[in-house]
Amino acid sequence: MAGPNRTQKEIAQSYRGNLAYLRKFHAFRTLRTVVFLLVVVASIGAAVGYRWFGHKEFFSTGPISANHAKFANRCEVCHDDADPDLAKALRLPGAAQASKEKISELAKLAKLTSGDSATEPPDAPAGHGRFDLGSPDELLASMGTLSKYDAACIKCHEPYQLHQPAATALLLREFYNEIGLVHAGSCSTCHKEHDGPGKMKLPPSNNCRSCHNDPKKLAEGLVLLKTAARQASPAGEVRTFKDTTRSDGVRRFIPPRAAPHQPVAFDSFATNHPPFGYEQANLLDPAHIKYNHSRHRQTEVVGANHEQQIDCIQCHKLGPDGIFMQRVDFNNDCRRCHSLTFDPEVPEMEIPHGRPEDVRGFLRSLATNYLNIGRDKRHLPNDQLEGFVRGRLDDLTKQLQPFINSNVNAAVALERRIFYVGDTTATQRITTKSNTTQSFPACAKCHTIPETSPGVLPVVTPTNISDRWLTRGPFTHAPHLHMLCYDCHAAALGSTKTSDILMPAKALCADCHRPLKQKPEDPAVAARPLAEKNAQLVAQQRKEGGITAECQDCHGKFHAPAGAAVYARQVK
Amino acid sequence: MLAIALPRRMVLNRSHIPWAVFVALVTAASALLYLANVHPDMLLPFQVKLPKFFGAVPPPRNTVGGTPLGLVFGIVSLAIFLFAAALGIRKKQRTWLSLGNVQWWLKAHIWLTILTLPFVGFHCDFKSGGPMTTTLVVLYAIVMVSGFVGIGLQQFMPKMMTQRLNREVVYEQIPFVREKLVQKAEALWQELAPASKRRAVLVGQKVPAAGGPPVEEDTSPHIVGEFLHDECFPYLRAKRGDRHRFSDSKAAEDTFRLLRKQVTEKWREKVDCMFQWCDDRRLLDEQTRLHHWLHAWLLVHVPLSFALLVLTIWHGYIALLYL
Repeated sequence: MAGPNRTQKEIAQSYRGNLAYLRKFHAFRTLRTVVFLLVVVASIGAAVGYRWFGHKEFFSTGPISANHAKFANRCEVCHDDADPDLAKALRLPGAAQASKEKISELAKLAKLTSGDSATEPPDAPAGHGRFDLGSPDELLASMGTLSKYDAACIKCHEPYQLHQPAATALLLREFYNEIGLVHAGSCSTCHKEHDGPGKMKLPPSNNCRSCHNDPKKLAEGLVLLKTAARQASPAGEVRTFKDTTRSDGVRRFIPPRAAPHQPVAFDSFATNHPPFGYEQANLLDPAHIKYNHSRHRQTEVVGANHEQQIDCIQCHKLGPDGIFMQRVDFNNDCRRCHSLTFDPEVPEMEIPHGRPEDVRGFLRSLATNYLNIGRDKRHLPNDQLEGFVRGRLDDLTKQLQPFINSNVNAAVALERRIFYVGDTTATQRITTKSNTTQSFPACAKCHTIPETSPGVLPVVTPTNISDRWLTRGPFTHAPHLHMLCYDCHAAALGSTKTSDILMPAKALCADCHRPLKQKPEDPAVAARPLAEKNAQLVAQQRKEGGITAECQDCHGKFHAPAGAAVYARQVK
Repeated sequence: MLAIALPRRMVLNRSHIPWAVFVALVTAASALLYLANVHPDMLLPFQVKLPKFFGAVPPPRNTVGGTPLGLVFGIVSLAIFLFAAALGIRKKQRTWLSLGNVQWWLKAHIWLTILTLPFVGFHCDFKSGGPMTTTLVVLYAIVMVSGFVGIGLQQFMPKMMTQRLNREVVYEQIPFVREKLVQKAEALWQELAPASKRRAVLVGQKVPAAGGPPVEEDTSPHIVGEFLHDECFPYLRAKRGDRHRFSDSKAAEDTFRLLRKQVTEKWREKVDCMFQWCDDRRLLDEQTRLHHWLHAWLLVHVPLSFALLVLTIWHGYIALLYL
């Protein structure tokens, strides 16, 4: 039963009497209007009224760091100069002039004045002038159009104009006659806020790479200053850093450095980062101590407990912070095997380890020292003490008889045996096999002692052992505890000379500290390094890489201290 | 290419090809600029040297939207939002022909807002950011999705309506037309059952003719009246007809066919009228339903577009304030 079809005209006729229908209420149309008006009122109301009832965190571009968490809902602390300026944001010409004017205002705001902490050294060479490393004018000029952020930073933080790769580089100015400076630019360029909760993240490597991987930028940005410092020896040297006048007491190996310095552009640590300073050709460890790592690893050389083969950690112990190895100390590490006993009949008596003067003093009061041993340690009765002391001195005199002549008396002969020859029972040897049962092998077994005339006090050359080999960046052993020592210091196993530099090459570090190339199912990088040795994990890490290698991991303390200044002559 | 195969009567047709090409070219060019400025590593081994206006490459800060290029993308997107919102005004102002016809405005509305997809992505570096910008992104997503739903509905629903509704009326006239159907039915009811006889008709009594023997009377009026009262009135007067059996055209057709067989020839015309009123009512209901489908997306799209516009301007103000 088909329905009848009608023409539009017929249909239109049905509207007769209702031609003003658009003015009448219609539910759907009314609903659309009401919803629209509600949303309009709500959105405009929210935008206009938010300042009275809303949280400012709503505008935040991301969670604020823990460092500034207390300002999370107080935007004005950092964004106090709020001024919507589209022209400036788009860096239109008119805004550039305004920016320059702003700089002087900022200088007042930050209350910056020229640093005056450095005074001209009395021996400042002619032509050398003072270079402030925190000059406010240049600092602000370098901030450009982004000065609003930086003005906020320098209200609380020290301002920096220039950067040395770590403040340690400034300390190196005593060893290099050239300092390279680069404009640090704007604070917020590197220190990014609103980038997640937790501690503010260190600047990512991308920031560093943007300049350090661009030879042109490196060449353009570099300011070279010539100082009056003595250039470090071409063979490298071991020195301590001085903070103004006081040494920090840490001996560092200072590798030689070519001048003028040619900065090398590189992409990452793993690829073309320059080798470590100590990797330069023909460098030797400048330590003055006779030590044979290979010998100490031989199986017949047992440790202090007479059972185990000597392991690295018996002498090289981590400091309490787990970062650096403590200095090897004779009393703590060597004495257990290398006793300072020189009289086999009186093993309780040991030569003092330290200054030659102390040794001479000890030997020249030998009778008193024997007397003290007899009385205090052997508890001999008074009537036996004199016999004990006389007996020991007579024995010694007999042993030294072959070396006594018109120029050398017994005391001098004994002193020379102690310093240069060793065991009084031996005849010609300079050194002797040493353990707790042997007599004293002579100071010269380990120390460098230039020959002197009989009777003249020998001088022991300082050991000059370096505590640190990486001067421009800290290294920490703490995350490497799952590795064996010779995973990195393999050269130590076969080293027979002290002059061998046993530090790992940069390329070896890059085995692990490189991007994870192919993600395996269970990447080693995901495994938490353990305190226990784990050869399997080490092997996997070396195979896969993936261990972090951010610039900041090694090159912290980017900025020169506020107020730092150097006297130098600008060459570029 | 899809548009080439589409017939001209559809919303998306061949006339949209230049717009699609324009959007594709602008997207490609802006993507190149974005990559060269923000992710230069992704363009290796190609190197695109950008003018100084663009600033550092890549931008030193996380706020890509605050870089000159990011701001350009943001500002252009806002301008497109404003233009898109102006479509509603253009539709109302029919005399603004010098600004282009509404069809051109609709095409520009569709394709320029599609262009905001890459622009907004490049502006925010495909990150949602903080609470305010996340709100904006969510609003933007809802508006865009509702817009695409609208395009889809506008593309296919009119054809469906043409097929299903052979007597489409002006949507706003539907309540009036429905009322008129009821009035027509009531007129027939008056005709069938004058006040003096209504009750008798309702009980089906036979009224003897005066002075003569009872005759076999035509029961058609009774049947038609009963049907009108019990079946048609409830359907025609119903607020929602979809729950009535006459909302099913097949059921209605069968019922009226039976009714036609029960009445005499002269009453069949009345039955046909009743059938048409019910058919009209069903079509009006169907048209209402389809109309709601066709336009309900606007309930989301239009208000939220305005909210998006307000929030975008607010976002721009706040961003410039803190930039």
